[in-house]
Amino acid sequence: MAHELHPLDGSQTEKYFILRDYSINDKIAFTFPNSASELPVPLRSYYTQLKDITTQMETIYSSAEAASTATYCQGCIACLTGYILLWCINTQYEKYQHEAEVLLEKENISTFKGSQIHIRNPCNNGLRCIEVIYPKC
Amino acid sequence: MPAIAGMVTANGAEILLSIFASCKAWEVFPGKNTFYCDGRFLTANDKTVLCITSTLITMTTALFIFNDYRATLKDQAYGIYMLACSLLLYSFVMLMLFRTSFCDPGIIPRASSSQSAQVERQLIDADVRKNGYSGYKPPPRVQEIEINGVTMKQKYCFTCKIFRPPRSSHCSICDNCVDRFDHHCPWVGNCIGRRNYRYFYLFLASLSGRCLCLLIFSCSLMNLLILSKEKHNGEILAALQESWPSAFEIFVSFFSIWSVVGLTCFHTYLTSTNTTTNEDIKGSWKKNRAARNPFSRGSCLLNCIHVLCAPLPVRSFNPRAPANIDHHEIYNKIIELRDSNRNNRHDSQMRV
Repeated sequence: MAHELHPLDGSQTEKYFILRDYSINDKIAFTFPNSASELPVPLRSYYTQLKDITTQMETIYSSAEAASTATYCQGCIACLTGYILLWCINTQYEKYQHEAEVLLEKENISTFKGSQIHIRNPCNNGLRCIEVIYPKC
Repeated sequence: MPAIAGMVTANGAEILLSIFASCKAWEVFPGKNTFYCDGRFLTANDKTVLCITSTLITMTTALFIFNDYRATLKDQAYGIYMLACSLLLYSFVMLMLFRTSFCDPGIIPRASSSQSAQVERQLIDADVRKNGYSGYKPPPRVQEIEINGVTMKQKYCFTCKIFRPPRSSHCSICDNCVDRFDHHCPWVGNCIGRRNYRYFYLFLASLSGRCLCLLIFSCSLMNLLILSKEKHNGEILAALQESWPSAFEIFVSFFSIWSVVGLTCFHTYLTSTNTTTNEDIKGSWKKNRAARNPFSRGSCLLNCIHVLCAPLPVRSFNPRAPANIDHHEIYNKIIELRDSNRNNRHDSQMRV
């Protein structure tokens, strides 16, 4: 896991942000650069892996926010029970968020093991961006 | 995933580290919110009006049970069902009220120092590429984005240092950016946003129903009392004096009905068009501005179902996670805690 020194003390890490693309209402999308040269130098060799992770995040969070008949029924039944049902079961969003956390933990440990790159869950900043933390070269 | 722990290398930083290691995010939260139960629940700082709301609802229900039910319905066959219904309705109203008040409305965490610095750097680079000169310029207030074919302006929030996601707005009372911000409601003591709008709507709807039922019941009881020949034979004041709880219920229900039923109708309209109070006030989707609502699902029924039953998002801000000090305000608060800790230690040493 990458450790981050506070900026005022002299930071040893840098951050790269993959920003959110809001153009389609129903779908979660992030603007990933078209070529590896647009990424910072330490991340260029991981272009494919980062693109894969971004795509997987997009799929997971789009599914989390997807509204189907089953979701509406779940919402209605929860309403009829005064939302006490939410204390007993995991909502759709919680299930997918857990899936995203597990995926990121696996990727951070296995794919980026040697390079000390760390990707933070976009859920922690309101799905505004995916934070990629990498050591300063 | 826990937030990344900070390491400091400056001398005498062991106090800072020990404070930081035990600091949870809610203890150094920069917004104006009060947290309860170790960060599990939150409200805005002003809770007095919320107390008034809960007291009024509880008091009128208690008066109904101990006065009206005992006087009239206790001996009737359907009396017990009426009591059960009134208690059920009261529990539902209070449950919705507490869910609205104590739930995170969809607070968007502030940008970390590194992200806000990078946004400014990217904008300066873009400026250099465009104009050929460099010089510090604060981020522009607005950038245009297109959603579902409709052009919208994305504003930059100078407090949170983020370009606000669509439909979100900054609440000046709570000092937070809230996703799908509706309004700040002092009666429930919290902002109404994406995560608690459905509870707020159900609170209003059930409260309207309850007030109407209470008003009808109290009025009919008062009517019976006034007309009863043995007791008052048409004298209103004497009847009011005898049954003052009914008079109180009539008074409270009558005056609250205008606001509560009115608000319920207004929010039913907003729900059926998938608009927020904020957007309605600003006229974002008015026809004469040639903008249609890109978030509308097509029909009123679909909009209602989507607003009230769509998947509930999780909290973006995790109050019980360790504090992330890559944020200048959080860092400043930790420094404050460290200094006050140091003063306490110095004072206790002096006393010894």
